[in-house]
Amino acid sequence: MTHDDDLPAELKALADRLDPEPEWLRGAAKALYTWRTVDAELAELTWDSLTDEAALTGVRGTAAPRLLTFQGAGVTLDLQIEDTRSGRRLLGQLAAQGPAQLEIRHRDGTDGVALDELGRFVVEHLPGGPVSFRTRLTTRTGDSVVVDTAWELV
Amino acid sequence: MPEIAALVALAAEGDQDAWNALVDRFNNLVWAVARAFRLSSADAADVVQTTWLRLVEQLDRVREPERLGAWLATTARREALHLIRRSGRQLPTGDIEMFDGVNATDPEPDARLVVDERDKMLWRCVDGLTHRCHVLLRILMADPAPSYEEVSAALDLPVGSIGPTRARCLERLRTLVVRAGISADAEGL
Repeated sequence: MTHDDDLPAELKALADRLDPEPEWLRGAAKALYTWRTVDAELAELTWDSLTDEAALTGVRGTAAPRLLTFQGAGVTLDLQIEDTRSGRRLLGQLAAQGPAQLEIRHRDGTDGVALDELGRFVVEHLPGGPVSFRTRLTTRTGDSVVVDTAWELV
Repeated sequence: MPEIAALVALAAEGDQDAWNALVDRFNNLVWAVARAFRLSSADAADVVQTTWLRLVEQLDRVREPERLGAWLATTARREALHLIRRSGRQLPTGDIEMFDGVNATDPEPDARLVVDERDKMLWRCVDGLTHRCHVLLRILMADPAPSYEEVSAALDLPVGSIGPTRARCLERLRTLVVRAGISADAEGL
């Protein structure tokens, strides 16, 4: 159901002239389809200090680092995002049921992320735009499982 | 809109053309939602891309694919509000009757575009409306015209209140336009 007569014609044309989409954006949105993977499990965002803490305390603060937790398919990923002088830095810890490898996916591609023996990692110079982490996990029975976090603007 | 549900189903099966058709149908709406919340062009582009990536990962899980436009509008609104909160800007309250002129943080129309004075004044009048009216009118400017359900999702308002709110906001806009003296034919708005 559309309402073509809902706005005066002059007003409708205004956004076309004064606030059009950037020309590249539509092509970029179409290209995002290549990120689709049918065989990956999804780890959902289950905690976000930005919304969950603000809701609890009513305090709107940006000085504290943002904390995020993603969970799903036997994977828990805790993230902390800090502003530093040289950019934004992400500290994280991966808890998975089995040996795992981690990648960060962002608009310019995919990078491997080194984990220490406790599953901790650092991403210096966090790329802009939405990011997602991919965990490649080998289960106790020897199966390979891919778990992607939901895309998030961090 | 059954054709939308069919496109969602095809895209979930791996059909890039179906995906492209969905982007062509809704990208301007998603952009309009992001800009309605007065995000900069770069931030709005981030919100648009994040919204589409959310759909990429949720293609198999969209519960009511025929209502995809509303789903996208809701997702874009949430992302826009997150981004505003992250940047520490004041969330618009919606109960300010009238901003005094143009807010310094408002995205200005792209200066490279050649626009006539009337366009610019009219745009400033839309900017000068209350937050709710500004968001509503900016989203209604999306092309193709959004359904009331999509507008309702973008504003987080009941569908039934969209019509009356729209009428009230247009009335306020006419008042601003007359006050700005830019038009003898504000009646035509």
